[in-house]
Amino acid sequence: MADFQTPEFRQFPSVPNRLQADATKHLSPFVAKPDHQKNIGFPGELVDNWEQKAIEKMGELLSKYRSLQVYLDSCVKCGACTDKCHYFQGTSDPKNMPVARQDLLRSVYRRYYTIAGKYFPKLVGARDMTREVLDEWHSYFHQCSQCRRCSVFCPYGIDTAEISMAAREIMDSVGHGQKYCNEILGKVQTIGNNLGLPGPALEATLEEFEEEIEEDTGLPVKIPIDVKGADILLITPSADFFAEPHIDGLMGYAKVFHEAGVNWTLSSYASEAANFSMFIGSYSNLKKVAERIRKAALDLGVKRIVVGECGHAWRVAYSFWNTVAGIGSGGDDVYARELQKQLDHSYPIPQHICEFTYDLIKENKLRFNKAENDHRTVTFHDSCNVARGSRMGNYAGGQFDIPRALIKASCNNFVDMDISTIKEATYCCGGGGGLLTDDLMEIRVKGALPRMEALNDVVKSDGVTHMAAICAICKAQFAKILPYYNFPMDMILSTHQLVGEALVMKGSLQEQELDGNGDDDDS
Amino acid sequence: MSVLFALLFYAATALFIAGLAYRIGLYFKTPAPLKIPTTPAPTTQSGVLWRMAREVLFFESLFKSNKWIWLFGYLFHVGLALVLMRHLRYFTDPTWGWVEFIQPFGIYASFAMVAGLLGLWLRRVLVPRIRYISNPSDHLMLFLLVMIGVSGMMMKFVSHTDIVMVKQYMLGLMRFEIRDLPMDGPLLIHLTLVAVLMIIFPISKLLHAPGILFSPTRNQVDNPREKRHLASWAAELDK
Repeated sequence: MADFQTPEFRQFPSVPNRLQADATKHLSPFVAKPDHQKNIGFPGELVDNWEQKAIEKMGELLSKYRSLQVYLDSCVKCGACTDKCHYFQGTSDPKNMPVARQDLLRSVYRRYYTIAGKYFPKLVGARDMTREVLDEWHSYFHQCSQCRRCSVFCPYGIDTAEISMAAREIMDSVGHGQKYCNEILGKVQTIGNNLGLPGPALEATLEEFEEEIEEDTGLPVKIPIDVKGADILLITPSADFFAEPHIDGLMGYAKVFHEAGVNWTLSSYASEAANFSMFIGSYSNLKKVAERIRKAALDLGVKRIVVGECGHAWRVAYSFWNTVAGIGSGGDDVYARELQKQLDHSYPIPQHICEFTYDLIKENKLRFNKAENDHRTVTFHDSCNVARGSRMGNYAGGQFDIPRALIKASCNNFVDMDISTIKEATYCCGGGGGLLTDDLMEIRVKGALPRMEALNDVVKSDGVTHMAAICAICKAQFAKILPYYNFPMDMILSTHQLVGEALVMKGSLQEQELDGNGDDDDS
Repeated sequence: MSVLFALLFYAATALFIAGLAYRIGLYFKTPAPLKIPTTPAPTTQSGVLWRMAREVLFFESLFKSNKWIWLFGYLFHVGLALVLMRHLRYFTDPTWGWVEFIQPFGIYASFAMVAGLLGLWLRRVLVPRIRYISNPSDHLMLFLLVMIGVSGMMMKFVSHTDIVMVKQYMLGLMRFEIRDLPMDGPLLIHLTLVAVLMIIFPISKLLHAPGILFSPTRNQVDNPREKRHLASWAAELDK
């Protein structure tokens, strides 16, 4: 299948203690082409005097980001994080230990920005900014999915994601970016989504889905797009329009909206929830991409904004949208007020599709026939950015309970994986943070090892047949790498696929089948 | 010699205070432009205070992470805290009541402190992962702290120093009067190393002490949907 070995399952759960220096040094993603760079405001190629420019950029970021300044200073090398990263577990490369990954940048910080590093570089492990360092950054800062698992376990909360975002921004600013992220960011800013799917193609696709749902349920469920005056704008990852199992999730949302009787729409201008600007640490791009959603909301005049199943997109939406685009509540400056006046603040802004569905379940507005999912035993993969970078509901940890409540409402057979691998301690799928590209397949497969081991454990002990997720990247990654571990690729499901399949809509074929034809039982 | 040590301590204290103030000032004025608490996170300010208290007083995250590092780290820090409090008796006259009270605990805490340090050092040498991430400065820091602890214990348990004279010296320093310091080996080593520690504190990883209070993943309230969080440089971009 490929020119590398899929790792063997270890005794589960286990701690790696064997180091293989430079085991994944060769795994470096394609460098962005000049066009990809320039489209999003970076120099096309490595600039003259780039070493100096990189150091200056580091200084600028240090003055703009407290996280970076504090985290570079505070690490005591206690070792608590060293065994926590899935890429380290899967590769044994010591530079994939969170602290060692941070040190790739910290060593340069110390050389240029600390007294100890200026005068005693050897003593504190400081080094000059050289080509070798740049290449090492390009490799290892693209072997971090910014999942923040290390930050949970660090006594100071040091978040390697913040360091890797800074490193990527520095590389971008000197003209040495990553092709995958930067190419995609160009597309979302010109066409409206990561895939470069233009409006008409999108409409045709959505019509097909409508036909499919009608065939299945007998109901004319709509997936509207660009409807002015709709109440709800749905912002969902564009993978929901074309990839499996994402599509089934989208049809699930459509059924829930239909059953709730709400007036909703997609936007062709902002047909993308993903915002890869976060992965490359670019505040200006983060803002630009989020502002497309702001503009769509203003143009369509919607009152609510709901976000589909996507991990990092939900982190951006939940944690950053209010900051970068005024999409939220409580803003009292001119910029924020313009949109916030229009929105209905009796609902959370933005709201996750799982929160939306959960509210309907609590109000008893949805009827489920769980038997539809009886051929499955389901487990749930907490997506890292949802678990550790956002929230759902009105209390800390709602992001763990609400998706599980949805699955339990629509399935009889649900099992959780080992506690050390879920919720706040969840393992990344291996493909997050801008790594979901074919040129990084080896690190994606190896990084999935801890999740695959935990999955294998419940497959063996509880006969789990499917794993549900709420992230477009997780779904795409698992569909691709499950076969490497001898699991079927269709083992991964959208959470709203389970919801959609068990949902018994009023007047649907499913309802008639359950209640009998012509019977006017309404319960 | 007494004069030399007086100058050393004045210099060390000045560098310690000025360096730390500069660093804390830097952390304080550097904005955190985005909401990045590691979730699940408290949704209220009082919740954040409680989270921070658990981190500072019990090392909660470290406890979740690694029980051995937690045990050794906790022994060291609690030991050090008690020892430091006990040392207040050399700087106050008359000695405060609560300092008198903890005196016996403070003495034995020195064993916990050194044991914790040796445990951490052993792991740094024996565990390949931690050995890999260690720089010479990480070993030197442990050496420094162990030597401070051991030289202090020497004076208590092996060769007594004229502690009354030391106290007079310290009280004198605080009034800018230089009195005589006993010329005992362990004492001079102890004092020199403490001065070194104070000098390197604001330019080393010891900055983790103020650093944790400024860590955005730990000190932010999880309420981004309810309140607009905006740094000054970021607000410029809205115009």
